[in-house]
Amino acid sequence: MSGQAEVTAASDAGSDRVPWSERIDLWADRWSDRFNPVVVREIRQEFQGVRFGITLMLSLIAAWLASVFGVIMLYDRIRQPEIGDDLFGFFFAVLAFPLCLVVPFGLFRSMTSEFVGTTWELLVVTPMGAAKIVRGKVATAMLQAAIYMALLAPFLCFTWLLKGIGVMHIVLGLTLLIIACFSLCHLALFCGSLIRKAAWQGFGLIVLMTGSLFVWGFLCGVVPNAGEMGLETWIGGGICVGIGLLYMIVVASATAVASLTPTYPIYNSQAVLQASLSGGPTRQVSGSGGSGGAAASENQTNESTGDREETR
Amino acid sequence: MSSVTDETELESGELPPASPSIEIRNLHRFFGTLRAVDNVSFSACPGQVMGFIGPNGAGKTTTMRILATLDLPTAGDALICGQSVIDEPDQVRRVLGFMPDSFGRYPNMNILEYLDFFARAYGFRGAKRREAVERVLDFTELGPLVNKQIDTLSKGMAQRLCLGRTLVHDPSVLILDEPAAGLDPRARVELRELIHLLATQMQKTVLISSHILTELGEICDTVVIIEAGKVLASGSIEELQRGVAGEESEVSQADSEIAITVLEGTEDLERWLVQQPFVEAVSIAGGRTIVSFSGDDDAQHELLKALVNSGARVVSFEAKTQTLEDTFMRITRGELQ
Repeated sequence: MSGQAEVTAASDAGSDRVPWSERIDLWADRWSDRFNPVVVREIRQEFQGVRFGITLMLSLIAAWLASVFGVIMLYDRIRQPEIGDDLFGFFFAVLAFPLCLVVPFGLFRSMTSEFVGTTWELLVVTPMGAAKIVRGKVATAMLQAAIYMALLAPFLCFTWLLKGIGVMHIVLGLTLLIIACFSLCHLALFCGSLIRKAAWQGFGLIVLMTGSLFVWGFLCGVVPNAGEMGLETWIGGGICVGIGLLYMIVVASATAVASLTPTYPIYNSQAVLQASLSGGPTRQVSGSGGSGGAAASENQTNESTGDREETR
Repeated sequence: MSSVTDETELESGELPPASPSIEIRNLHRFFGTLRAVDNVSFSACPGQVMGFIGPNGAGKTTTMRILATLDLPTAGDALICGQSVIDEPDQVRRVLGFMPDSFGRYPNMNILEYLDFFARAYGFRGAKRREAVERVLDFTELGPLVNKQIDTLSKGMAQRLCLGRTLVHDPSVLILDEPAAGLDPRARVELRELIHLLATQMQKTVLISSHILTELGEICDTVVIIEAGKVLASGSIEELQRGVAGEESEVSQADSEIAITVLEGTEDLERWLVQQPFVEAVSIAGGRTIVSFSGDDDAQHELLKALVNSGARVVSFEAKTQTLEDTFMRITRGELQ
């Protein structure tokens, strides 16, 4: 078989002789059993693909350029205490870009490719369940967000060393960014769930990108100036936005789960209703007469299944 | 009900057959006014390969999707290993392998990762997961290609992988929707051999739909013919060819054809043949005399004996067997809905 089996066999023979790289592979393979299968698959795909690597490298390059040009631009004030505050805006915009645009876009593509490529049928006939699939997709997106943050957040911390910005301000910015990323991922989930044909992908993408760009611009405008806003504004705005986001997350999750559940009642209710109107078996079950011209055996069948239909 | 396991078998004192792995009871599926599946019933036992054939739009895929828990019936029920696809879909998914007509390919993934993912999805962990993947790779002989990207696979290899994915959790029942579509002859033969092994050695129940009826005729024990959502006939291929299939079919005993080749005197032979019993029609095609014959095997034997005794210099006397394709064309009416 594969390298996996060879690694296992070698491990049985004596783990001392197994090279370190293979031992790490074996350890990772064992650990991966603890994760959602969708997370494992999508992370593998991302690492073998080019999109994640390129965006990660571009983000890092942007952060380095922001450091260099920021220092050059602010060279005259390099010994003044406010320089960290100014640089924070640059770094935050660089970090917010992948989290607000790239990560949700990846999730959107992941959802739509399941439907357009009909791979979703292969997934839902496994015992995983739609909710687990959705959780896996969101977890993958958040894991990518964590990788971006792990690489770019040190730049934000660097601004604290330059003084002029407090730790709480940085923590607040990162927290808002995580909330925004999580919410946009659910918007991507929602848009991706509704698209079943390749022709509609563009429309979903426009909706998502509009939302993502708006949030990115909003955060870039608000977070660097967070200190200037009053506590009442934060509390009031936080409650309103929080309720809205919570509602959107619930609706998006429910929509995604429903779209990945082939026997979800909404799929069948329309057919049952239309069958009822056309005088099919369901109408006879409901006791409104057997005008559909169905055979006696059909009536018996409907009686046996009718209760189930009605309770659904 | 057009059950393949006929009740008359029980009455004749034979042992009762094993409980069916697939049991469809009065299944209906309506899409608006369209009756995609209309009162379909049949069953299949372990180790049986059942062909599910019908023209495009007959309701095959809809029925298979219901069996695979991808759709709900409007009425009726289907049981897989005794579990209802409506009430216990999760249990059904554990014992069922579904191979859809289109192979969903994930980008940036090799064969090993693909099978590994589905093994994980079916709940295999650690050594059991690796064993499940290894078993499938051995069976499908995809071992040497484990590191090949699946989006670069040929159609035949992709179908092999798709079958492997279907088998990764060792299901008792396999639903294969057009598995041989688009395959070259070699790949079709290989796939046919794999399916034969699944049924004979692993005692799996296989429900297979295909348009390539000659292929189905070679691997199926029983056949269900569906058209416009209704089962027209079901039974073993021999039963269908003899026209004694399920009650739904209004199939009559078909005339058999006999091709006779003589060294000389073809016109005399034609005149002689039309006077013989059970000979319905005689024609000459390509130097051969084609006889439309309504008699049984004994009558055929008598005809051959009389032919030789008549002094005709017979080179060949060949009873043309009816293929599944002939049976299909005879039973179906080409109805569209």
